[in-house]
Amino acid sequence: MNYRPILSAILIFITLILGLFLILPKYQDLKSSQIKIKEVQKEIKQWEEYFSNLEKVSQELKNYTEVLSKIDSAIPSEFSLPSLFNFIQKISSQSGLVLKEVGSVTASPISQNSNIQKNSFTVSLSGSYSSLKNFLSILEKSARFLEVESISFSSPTEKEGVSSFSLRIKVHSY
Amino acid sequence: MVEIIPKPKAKTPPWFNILFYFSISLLIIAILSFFILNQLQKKATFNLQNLDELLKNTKTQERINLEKELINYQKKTDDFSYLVKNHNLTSKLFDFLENITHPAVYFSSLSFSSENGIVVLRGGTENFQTLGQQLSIFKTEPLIKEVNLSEVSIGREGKINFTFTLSLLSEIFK
Repeated sequence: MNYRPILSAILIFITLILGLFLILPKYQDLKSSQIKIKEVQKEIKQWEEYFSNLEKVSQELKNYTEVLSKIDSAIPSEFSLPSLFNFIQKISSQSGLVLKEVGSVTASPISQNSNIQKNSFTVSLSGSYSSLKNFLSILEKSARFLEVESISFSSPTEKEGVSSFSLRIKVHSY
Repeated sequence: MVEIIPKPKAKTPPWFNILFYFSISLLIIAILSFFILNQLQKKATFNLQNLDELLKNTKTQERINLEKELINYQKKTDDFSYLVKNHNLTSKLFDFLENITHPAVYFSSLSFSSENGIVVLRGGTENFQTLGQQLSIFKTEPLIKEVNLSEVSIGREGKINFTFTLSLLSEIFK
């Protein structure tokens, strides 16, 4: 009796079982690993490009150190009250005004989601109208980016001879 | 009875052999495939581990610090742009008022708030005619949104005292 047809059937059956339960899962694992490899390679490439761009930007920023330091002084991380008042005193005498009083500082964020603080304070000055204009001109050109929120004054009385100015100034910080 | 003439051996059909060798080949191929796939999978896993390591090394502490530094700069420049955009030069108010003040009109007091852009001017003039001309100048000025004349009175020497409340457009201060 010839057993070959039966053997053939058994072998094909074994091959099918092998294919279904060993080879196919292995193939699927390999495919999935290859996909993962491609994804990781792509991710590495993207990160490399990203960091390479960052390095380029960083190099380019070195040409703008002066501008960056201006930004730093416009919005400093630490708000120093004495240095600010010293600056106000300096520019008031520079412009021909007398600094009479500096009020307390009130701080509040410029908007709900912002971390920039608006620091407002009042100053009382005395002097002439032209001196006030000089004072404002210097104040507004300063690197600290000061801004006058409100201003009020009256013409001088004969007794005083000079005008009194009341200003609310704001300055920003983090 | 003894058979003197032997019977010819029954011939196996050729497809029995073909099927048999085919099934053996199939099984061999399946076994080989399994081992090949297994090797490829091992290699892929090894590659994936290497790539994961490479990905980790891509994000070095130095690069992360650089990224943080640049993000910080970006934030600062954005904040600075916002401040520049919203920065008002109050000193321009005086040049503006000087240009639109009637020669026969003087202002004795000024009160201004940048929050609402309102300036209150108290002053005097010789007669109602010049007051009317001043009002007309203010009304025709495109940078003034609204003009309000109040507290008009006749002073001791026949001079006219008044209060102007002007609502200004923010363009003046840019």
